[in-house]
Amino acid sequence: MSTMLNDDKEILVDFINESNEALEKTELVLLGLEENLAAGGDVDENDINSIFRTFHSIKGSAGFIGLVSMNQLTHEAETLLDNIRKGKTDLKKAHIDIFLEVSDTLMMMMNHLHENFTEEGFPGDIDELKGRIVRLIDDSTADKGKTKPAQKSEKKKSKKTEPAPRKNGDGTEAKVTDAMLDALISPEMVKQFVVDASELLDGMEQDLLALEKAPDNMELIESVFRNMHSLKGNAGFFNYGDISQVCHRAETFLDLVRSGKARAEANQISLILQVLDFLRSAIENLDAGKPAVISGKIGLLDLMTEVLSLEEAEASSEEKTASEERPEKAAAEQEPDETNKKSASREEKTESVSPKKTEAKTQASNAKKTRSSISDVIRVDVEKLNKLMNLVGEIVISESMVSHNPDLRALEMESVEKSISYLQKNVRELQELATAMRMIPLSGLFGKMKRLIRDLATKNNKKIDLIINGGETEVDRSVLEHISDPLVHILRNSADHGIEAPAAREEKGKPGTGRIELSAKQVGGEIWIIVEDDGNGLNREKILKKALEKGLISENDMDMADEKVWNLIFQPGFSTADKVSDISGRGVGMDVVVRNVEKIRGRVEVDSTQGQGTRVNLRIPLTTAIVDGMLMRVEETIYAIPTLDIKESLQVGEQNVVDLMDGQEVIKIRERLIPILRLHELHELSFKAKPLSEGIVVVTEKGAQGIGFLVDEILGQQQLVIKPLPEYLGNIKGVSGCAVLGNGEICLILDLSNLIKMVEVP
Amino acid sequence: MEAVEEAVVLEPGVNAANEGQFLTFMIGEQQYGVEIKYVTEIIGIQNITSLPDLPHFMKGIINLRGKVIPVVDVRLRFGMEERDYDERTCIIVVSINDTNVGLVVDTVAEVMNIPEESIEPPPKVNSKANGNRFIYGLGKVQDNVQILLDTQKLLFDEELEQLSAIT
Repeated sequence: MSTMLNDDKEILVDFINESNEALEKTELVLLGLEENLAAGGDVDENDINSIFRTFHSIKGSAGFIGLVSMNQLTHEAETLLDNIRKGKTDLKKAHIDIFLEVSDTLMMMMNHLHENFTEEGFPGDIDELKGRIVRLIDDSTADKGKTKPAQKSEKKKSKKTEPAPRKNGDGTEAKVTDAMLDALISPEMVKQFVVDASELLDGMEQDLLALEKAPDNMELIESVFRNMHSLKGNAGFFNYGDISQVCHRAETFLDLVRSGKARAEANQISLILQVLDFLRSAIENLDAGKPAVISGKIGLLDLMTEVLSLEEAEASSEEKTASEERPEKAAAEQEPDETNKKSASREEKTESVSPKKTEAKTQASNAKKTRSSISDVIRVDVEKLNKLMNLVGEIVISESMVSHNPDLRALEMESVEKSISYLQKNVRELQELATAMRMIPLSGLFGKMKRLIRDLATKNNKKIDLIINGGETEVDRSVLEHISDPLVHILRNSADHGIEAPAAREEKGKPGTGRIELSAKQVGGEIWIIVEDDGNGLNREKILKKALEKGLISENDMDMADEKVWNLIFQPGFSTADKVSDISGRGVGMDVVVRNVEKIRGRVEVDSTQGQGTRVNLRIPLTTAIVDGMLMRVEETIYAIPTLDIKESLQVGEQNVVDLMDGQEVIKIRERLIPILRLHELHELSFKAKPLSEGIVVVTEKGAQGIGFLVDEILGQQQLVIKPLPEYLGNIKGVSGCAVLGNGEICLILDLSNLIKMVEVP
Repeated sequence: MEAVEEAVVLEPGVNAANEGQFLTFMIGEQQYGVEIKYVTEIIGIQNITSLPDLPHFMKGIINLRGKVIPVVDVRLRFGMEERDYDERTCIIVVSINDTNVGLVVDTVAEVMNIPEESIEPPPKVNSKANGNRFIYGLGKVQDNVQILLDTQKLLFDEELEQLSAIT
């Protein structure tokens, strides 16, 4: 099997993909059946037939490929289904349970196959499952009328489905030697484990955070339990002792909560959240190629035992699950009266339906996730995406080389023009597609902020609601990397300095629970990420005082506009917090925000009302690699400004020019005063003092009042592929990058926010 | 763009094998040499886009088949007088540690083999003079003396780093 030919592998992969698709459908059908059954509805024969067909075709293919255990398992499932189909057996919940289990097991086997190309070494206990199916077949056909004993045994069995995989996990550890394991585990599998584990951890974190607000939500508990359990199982399979031990203990506690034997207290949830952090760091280690060791594991385990009050339960986990089963079993058996028993079991059934179903559903959705990663989503190396993006950039350049080719243009032939416009259209579409491929929704990043706010609120004894809107907004991958730190800083500031303590809030007549809204939306060519809190707001006097102390402003500036005052907080080393907390207040932070956002050509806006709250807006251009730019010539140099930033361009009459005392020229357009920046002087291209009226002034939107650039000529609009300036040159003031034009010339892309800073003195 | 077509692209295989090979070029009457393993190609002078805030010897950037690379004028780097570019002016593109830089020289002379034993360390005298610190050694070929340059120092001398840190 290990020396499988490539052809065989292809067949196998096809088989896996097809089967997974079919199993996915089957699962939905089963869940539908279950719902139907619980509602007392009739069983649709078509449903049974479709499930039968799925198992049957898997059986056939598995037999053909030589997958013995899969073949046998599906055979038994098929037999049971056949009985049901032919009316020999009535469909019961236990059957659906077992079919779901079979389908899950099959999916796990498919994943295993996909990674190993052999069914050997599959950690699940197929024989045990097979045995249970056979017993169900026997039970149901033997006494179709007497459902009770069967029901009881099924009950026992379905109970066992939980601990079963657990045993398997440990079982593999015991059975398989380390050497065998090492041979089994490929680096790809570890990678997959890391990815899966991170997903599981993220999921658990979200659920736990929600659970804090609704501690009695069984669905959440079930979901956390399930994720913890899968993580434990995976870790067990890979023989990561630390992870599986820690997971196991957390799982034990969750199991108690889930079975109603304990209630999840706030401090316990906090601890589990911390446990997640430990697990995450272990998994990060693993990703970095280090062993998955949890430092301080023993202390953590002890702490968990103590806080989660697991002393008794921890005595022996196997015993625990056993004893958990026993009272229920005993209770059922103690009922001597037939009718009583019936009603009891029915009650039990209805009780068990709801959590079971949700469980099955989460299982289904989890399974869907992993499966879709095989069938319709592929993981692509970011490096490849970057290369693609670069290549598309080159194509855009070569397209403009062709379409702006003077010789070709001189032909003035309609067919050429047509072809060129067709080429332009396709290139644009290609570029849009390539850009879209790199887009990631913000929801993941936003989700992480929930945890941050929660931790900060707990730490400072504040109550804060984080409201998230627009998480579905997509941004380029590089943007996501750059805004994650700024966002953390801003939210920290809001939670730490903005939102007041509950008592202080109530004094002011505000609700005790603070509110931070994190939202994202697309506005024109920009993505706006807004953090708005209803806290204390910025303190104008304090900021001014501090700025004065630091020498950032002079006495004369004390009456500067609010907007400028708020921008002072972005100066390096600026902080007004009275006391330094360990989270924020050291004065690093806000300048990091600006620096990071500027790297992706974005900008930060702050607005605040004293006592009412603060609003921070990160405005980030949509794509960073390719922009529509307006080309303009200044002497010999060609500059470009993103078209979206341009408001208008005009020739100014001399009567509209005002010379300020310090030499700054200002023009008046429709009652607005706009400062002028002469690019000639900035770049020392020439010192010729040319009157403004002889050039063209391009007015941009950035900055408080906009800014006008004096240029010699406007060359037109063109798509530009932004390239960074060679690192060798260091930072160039006022230029954010360059682009190669169709004729091979280079144009410089102006860094507007930087240029504005040079003109506007804070 | 025509300059690109005239470009002399050196075979990389030859570069790696020949340690003692130098590409020589002229600045005024003096012949200089750089180790050929750093040289990727030689192109004619082309339009250089100047940038603000650069040290005077950094002329700006050029477009080399879609790649944007910085250009250093070797004359100015040595503190010599500026001279107008003509049709013999060349740009030698060198590549060190993934950094591509174009070196503007008066003209390219030839590729020559200078064995290790014919290279003498630079004289210690007059060490204050600008330019000497870029010298790797003096190569004696027949009656001529070639000034062999330390490409690493030429591109990454600390003076330059300080300059870029300020800007």
